[in-house]
Amino acid sequence: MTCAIKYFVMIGCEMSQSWSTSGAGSGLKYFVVFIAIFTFLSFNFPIVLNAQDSSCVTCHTSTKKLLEKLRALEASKPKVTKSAESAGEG
Amino acid sequence: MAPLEPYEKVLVDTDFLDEDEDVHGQVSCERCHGGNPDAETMEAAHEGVIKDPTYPDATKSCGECHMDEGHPDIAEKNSTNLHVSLSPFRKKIFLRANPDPEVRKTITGAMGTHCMECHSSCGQCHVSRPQSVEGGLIEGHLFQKTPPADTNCTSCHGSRVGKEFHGENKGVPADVHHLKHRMACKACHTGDEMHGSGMDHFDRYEVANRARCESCHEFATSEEPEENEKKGKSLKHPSHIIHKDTVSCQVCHAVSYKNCFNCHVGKDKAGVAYFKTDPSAMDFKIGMNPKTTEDRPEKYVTVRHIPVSDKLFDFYVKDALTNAANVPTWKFATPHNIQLKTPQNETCLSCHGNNKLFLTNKDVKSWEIQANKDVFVPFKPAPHVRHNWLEQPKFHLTRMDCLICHDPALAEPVKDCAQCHATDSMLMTKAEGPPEYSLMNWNFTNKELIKDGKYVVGSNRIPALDIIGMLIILLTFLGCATHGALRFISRRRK
Repeated sequence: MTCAIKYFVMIGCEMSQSWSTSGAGSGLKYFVVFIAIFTFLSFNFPIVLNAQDSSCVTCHTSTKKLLEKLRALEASKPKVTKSAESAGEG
Repeated sequence: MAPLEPYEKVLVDTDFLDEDEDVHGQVSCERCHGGNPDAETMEAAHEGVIKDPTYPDATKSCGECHMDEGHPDIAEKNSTNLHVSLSPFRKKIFLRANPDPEVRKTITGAMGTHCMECHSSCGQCHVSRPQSVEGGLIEGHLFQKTPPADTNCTSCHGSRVGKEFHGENKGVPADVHHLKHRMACKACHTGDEMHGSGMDHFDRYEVANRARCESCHEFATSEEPEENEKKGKSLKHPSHIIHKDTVSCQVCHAVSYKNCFNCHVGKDKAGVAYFKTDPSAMDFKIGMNPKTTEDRPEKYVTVRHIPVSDKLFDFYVKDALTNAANVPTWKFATPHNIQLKTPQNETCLSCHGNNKLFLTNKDVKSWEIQANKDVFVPFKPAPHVRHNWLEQPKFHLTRMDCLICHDPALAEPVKDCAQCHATDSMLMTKAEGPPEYSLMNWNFTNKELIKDGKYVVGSNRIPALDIIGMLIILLTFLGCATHGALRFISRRRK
């Protein structure tokens, strides 16, 4: 990952040099390079948020919340049971 | 296996989020399961959720880490893993199927509904119960290196293997490996076997790294194998040498096991899938191995009836399995109720000549006769008929230890009377053994053999005749002496 950052910083520097010759503002240049690097990293190194930080665990670690939600869900959905015609060992 | 409450199936243990407990908890939920954690409602949050991200393709979930480090080949082998692909199952059905492509398409659809749901996956072994038994997290999503046997092995392999192994069939003891040694499934079925061989197979017994008895039980060598804890009892009994590569281990060491018959599948009026099988039956049958290979050279193997019928898919399409009559319904089996002593290994004659143990055309329905023709054991005359070259075949068979003549140390079994019945015979000169059983010991200490009713040369004469003979000899001498004495006395008087 460090290598990738160095690589992008290097590309960014080259880009800013070429842009400075073209007369674009230096603040804008650095902003664009930063956005490009950030976007690339967030797509290619997505393991940045662990399960602990996920909002999923708020419900899935709480027995009370799950009981409430699943009872409501079960009441609203028809219960799928095994066919009464099944006979014998599976 | 106790069923789970709906909430228990999806309840995550907070330990899962602790890096020290499970590193997998450091990966965000949606990374594997999808969905939208930022959504406001439960329905929106679960939109696009993947229940089992490891099925059918595990390379994107498990493989992301396990391809490169740790277990480089496990995720790669996933696609050919028989627990995932059920490949032999499909192939065996198509072996019976009608060649018509349209019919085969219908069969594929029906199998998808009724048969192919019984698969597993990385997740359905290491994280949750298999979906075929209604799923549910095991240990609150904490990844289990070794899947628990009760929730993840016998939950699928329960009706036959599980019940046999745990002794849950009435009157049939549990497997000695479970009962005596408390061994679990993984003791024989290693992770390496479970993750597959990396090859597709026609038959699950073709898998090279499958469980084998001989992995633990070796033939007795000069080095004592018992010293190694992982080794089982060494194969010291001469029967192992005699039957090696001819008879499978289970033929002597398994007891009655479950056989299933017939199967029909369909959908009821509500569109719910059903199956119907005939009542199962406990039985023990030895059949011919229809396809001996270098890996499985045994001629005689235990065979189990499988739940199949030519009318299996009649609900969906008529004449689906037109080739059913050509594929055996009694299949090679490895019952999981191994015992050291079994009814058929009590004596040689408990098996040899015991026609009830062998599969014949009398054991199958008429349509199965052709299908099992290569599995039926050809009729062999009774042992006393096969030994009719002996003077008294029944006497020899019941009173003699078979191993005296069928000694594996001999190049060929004894077939000449003089080999035993002569003063310089093999029996008198070579049949060494422990002193109490030695036939070379003339002190008659082989009384235990006689006590068992076994024949020992020279030991079974009639004792009364010996006494009478001795009395006659003594009386003769006594008579002569008396006569001589009387003559001597009468002469002196004259």
